[in-house]
Amino acid sequence: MEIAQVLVNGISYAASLALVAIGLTIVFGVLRVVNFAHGALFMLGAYATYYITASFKWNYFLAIIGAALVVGLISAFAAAALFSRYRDLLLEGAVMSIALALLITNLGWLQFSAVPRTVKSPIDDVIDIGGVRVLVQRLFIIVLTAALLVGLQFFVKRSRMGRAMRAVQQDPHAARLQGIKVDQVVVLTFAIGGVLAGIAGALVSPTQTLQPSMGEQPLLLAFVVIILGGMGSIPGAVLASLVLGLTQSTTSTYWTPQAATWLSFSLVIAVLAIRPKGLLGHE
Amino acid sequence: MPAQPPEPESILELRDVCAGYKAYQVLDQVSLTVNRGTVVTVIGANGAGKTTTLNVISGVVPVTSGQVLLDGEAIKPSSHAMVARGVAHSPEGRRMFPHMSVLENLMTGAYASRDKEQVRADLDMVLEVFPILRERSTQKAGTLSGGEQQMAAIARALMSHPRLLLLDEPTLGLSPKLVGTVRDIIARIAATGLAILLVEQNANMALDLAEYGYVLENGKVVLHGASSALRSDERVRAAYLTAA
Amino acid sequence: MSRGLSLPARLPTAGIQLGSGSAVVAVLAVLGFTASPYYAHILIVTFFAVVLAVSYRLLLHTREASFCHGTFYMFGAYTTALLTVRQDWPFWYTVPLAGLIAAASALVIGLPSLRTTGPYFFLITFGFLVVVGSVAENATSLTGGFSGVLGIGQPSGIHSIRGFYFATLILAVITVIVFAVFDRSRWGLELIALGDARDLAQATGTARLANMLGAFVVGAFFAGIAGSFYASYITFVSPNSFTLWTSIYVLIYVVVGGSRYLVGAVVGAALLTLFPVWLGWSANLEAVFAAGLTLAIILVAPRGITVELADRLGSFFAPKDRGPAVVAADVTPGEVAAAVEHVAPEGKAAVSGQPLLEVRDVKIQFGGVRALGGVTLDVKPRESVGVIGPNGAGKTTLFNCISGFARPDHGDVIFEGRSMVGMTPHRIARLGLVRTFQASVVFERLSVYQNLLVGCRPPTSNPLRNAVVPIRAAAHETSRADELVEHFGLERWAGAAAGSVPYGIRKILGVAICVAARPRLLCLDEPMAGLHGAEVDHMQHVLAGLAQQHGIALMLIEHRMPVVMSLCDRVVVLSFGEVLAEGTPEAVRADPRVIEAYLGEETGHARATA
Repeated sequence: MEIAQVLVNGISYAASLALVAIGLTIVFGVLRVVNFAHGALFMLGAYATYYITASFKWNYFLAIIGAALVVGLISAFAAAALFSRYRDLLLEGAVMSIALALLITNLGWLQFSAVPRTVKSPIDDVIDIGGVRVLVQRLFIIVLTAALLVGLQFFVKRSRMGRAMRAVQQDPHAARLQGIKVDQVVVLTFAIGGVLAGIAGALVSPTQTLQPSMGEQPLLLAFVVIILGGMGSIPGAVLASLVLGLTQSTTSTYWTPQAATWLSFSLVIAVLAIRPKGLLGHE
Repeated sequence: MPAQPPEPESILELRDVCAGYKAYQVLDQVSLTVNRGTVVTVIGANGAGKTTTLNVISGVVPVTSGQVLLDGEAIKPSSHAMVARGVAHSPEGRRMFPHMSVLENLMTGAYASRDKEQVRADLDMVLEVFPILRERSTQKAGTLSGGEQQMAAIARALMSHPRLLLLDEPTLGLSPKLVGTVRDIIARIAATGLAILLVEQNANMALDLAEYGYVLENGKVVLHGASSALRSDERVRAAYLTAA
Repeated sequence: MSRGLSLPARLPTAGIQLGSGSAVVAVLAVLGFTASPYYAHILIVTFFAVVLAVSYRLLLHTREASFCHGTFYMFGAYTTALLTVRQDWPFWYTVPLAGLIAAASALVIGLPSLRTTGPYFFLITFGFLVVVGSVAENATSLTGGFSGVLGIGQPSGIHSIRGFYFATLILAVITVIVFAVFDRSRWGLELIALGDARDLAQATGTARLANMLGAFVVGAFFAGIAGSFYASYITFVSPNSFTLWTSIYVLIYVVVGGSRYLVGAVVGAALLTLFPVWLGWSANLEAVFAAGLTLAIILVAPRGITVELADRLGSFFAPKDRGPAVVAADVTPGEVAAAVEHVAPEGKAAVSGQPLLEVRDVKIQFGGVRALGGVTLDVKPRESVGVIGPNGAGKTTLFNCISGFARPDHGDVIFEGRSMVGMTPHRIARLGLVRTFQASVVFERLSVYQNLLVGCRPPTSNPLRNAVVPIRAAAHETSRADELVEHFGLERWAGAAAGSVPYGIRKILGVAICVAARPRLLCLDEPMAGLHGAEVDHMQHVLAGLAQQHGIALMLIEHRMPVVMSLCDRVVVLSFGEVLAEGTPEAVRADPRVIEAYLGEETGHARATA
């Protein structure tokens, strides 16, 4: 059935989009800075997966974890060394993250060059579910993302650190007065964002050829997602990713792939005209 | 004649503290002492530097000269250090986390505390002192009324199981009736032996609650003494309403 | 008394600037005849970068960074491409159209997005970039899609690379001159003021949207024209020529070079284009270079190369700019106060007649909190009214409602017979109602003198004149500013950056800027806050003078009772968003309700002793 196909495609697309977008939105939430280097993290996740599987010969699933850790660490380091000083300095922080993005991406070109690389995943077969042919990889993406989202929700809502993150997002001064070390929270947030982006890169790596510029498209779309969903809101990012992902797959199938882009953006503009904060934003 | 503060050991002391920003200094040679189990108040007109005094203790405003002493030893003030050592700060304007529930707000107050048992006990205590919070525990703190937010802010500060509570203008923007309620709560908390440094614009209430008071004007301590003495001192009224 | 006054770096005089600029152009012109096509190409690419950077920088004065400057470049390029290829237009006809179309697109995206601030403007222009890029790729019938447009018409009269060289050199020179003119004009000054302290700028009469939109649109126009030439130069355009990074690079040129000076944009563009192209670096290495340099600059010399250099070498150049007057001895505030008083007071005319300001039953609510619950008061011409009350009583909210920074839910604000509700703050200011802010007192980046110039709007405001006439040459404004410097005793600090002068002087300057705007009612929000001792007296003299000598009505929020007592004819007491009492200062001071509001109820409550 076509509809089921469209749904699965849309949701798996939304899933990887959500992973990238959430990292972007939580970083904005705690630091009020737009991190343009986020797409580069996605790219690094994919390449890390490649090298871990190709050179170290680990299996794919372990590589996902490896990639997540590597990218998480890089992100945390960038936060501690560079970003922490730019709280609320939107312009300076943006320029800094842009420079970082340029640096990483182009170092990537120089290092990895345009040699197309692919990651072989052990689950690259297609299965048949009631007449619908579905790539197992896509199902895996959906399931893993769902699990991660549940875990993240749990962390953010129930844990002490998660509460600290939300406190810093809502009122950094008051958070500080409760004894919360705001700088530490920022670094942790960046780390989580990095982990998610790295996993997204790892998950997507078997489905496309790796190029150092592969982070640009997800970055652009992630921006659209967080504007639509409301900057700083995780549920907003998830919702907006679903909306965009489903829009994308529906229009690609029933109309043309080009129309998908149009429609997505028109949708975003329409929502913003009515509700500038985004769907679930609370700024 | 300023009376001598009571005998017991001091928890917190400011010695000749000057503090402020590049543009201008806000505090000029401020000295004060808060002893165990006492309520001390800092009063004065707006802009006198009362909130800055508390912000200096929490490390928010830099100290340009002078010392801040905790338990008799000089320290470099920071919120983290203060909370860890039992000094909690309920800020001006309350500053609840608006999108978190009351309960979650209270739990952030307990951030620095690792002892789960203690935290649970503190939560029970706090909900008993502020029954309205039990009622509103799952509501988003931003939807609470001004008075309820004030109580929640005090409760949140109490969750870190402090020895000394820094209270910044708890009656700000509250109706006279609520002022009475807040006063009663502060009195009740003080009766448990908690030391309180109360910054207030409402001089009568503050001097009512405190044992000792400091009057700030233009960043300087112009008067200090036992609150009973200050209450009848014309100079207090003058500091607010006419030239000192 | 002077502790580390920071003077804006001494810029070389206009003469030196013109001279060195001409020398550079002359050298480039010579190169045009002697350079090989390879080097000519490098320089041509650099000229394009310079045009983009310089045209982008104007809006950046307001600290709003757009993300779609490359898109305007693209609009220009595609306009020329499509018109010459599809419609056989001669190239030169397409040039102005390219600029206009880019400008029009800026207008379309600017109107909605410039009403927002912070990340939203950024992201909306970014969204615009993405959408347009997507359209370029996908609207194949219109734009040729991915394959782009080939065979773009060449300009008649230009037959070689040398021709293009001179054409683009001339374009770059024209752009630099035009934007240099803007920089020195009133418009440039107002843009910087908007960037420094947006609210204060508006409260003293500077329009926000018009100024910013103008900068955005004019910048786009030049980018469009550059695009037009670019298209013709490379004879082929495709969406790939104008990626996301084009717009990003423009921002980086300006940030690296230093946005404060126009030459910074030129230096940044040249540095980041010239070297990589000259060294034959791949696009990737070029990007690494750009990125690395940007990171280094941001961390080490955050204000940009030219600004850091200028500050260090600043003493090198002779100060021909208006600088602080050399005084033989320290001028004390007391002396200044005496000087101010010396001007024969007209004596306060009887306060009577139609109210200047009528606030009628104004109510406003924020969320669930009722900030003002029906405030009614009035201010008569030349009257001084004090507004007092405990913290949180709604005093600043009242000011916001009066001056257009907040819109009351109910009630009216009538000034000189005209309702002000719904008007923009700058319009209200121009009608004669000016206010100060507690937080942003002055425009910190500008010199004290320039601060005054911002307030000195000419009575009839002509946008063209404002954009073109150098403000130093505007006789009306400079003479008025000179008067104000003298009147407020600011000679000593006139050339210093306002952010570096002593706080007391800053507060006086803040009042002076407002007076420059010719108010009939001046609303001062805690003018004495942060002042001590002699500074308070000085300010008091200044304010008293305003009412007496200039006939300006005053409304002030103040906590210091002695000030209120001596300055105000009448006092209004606010408490919990309502008027609690009103009357002469003596009456109010003795009013038991007022005393209670401040000091709290007399409780007689026996406190349990520990």
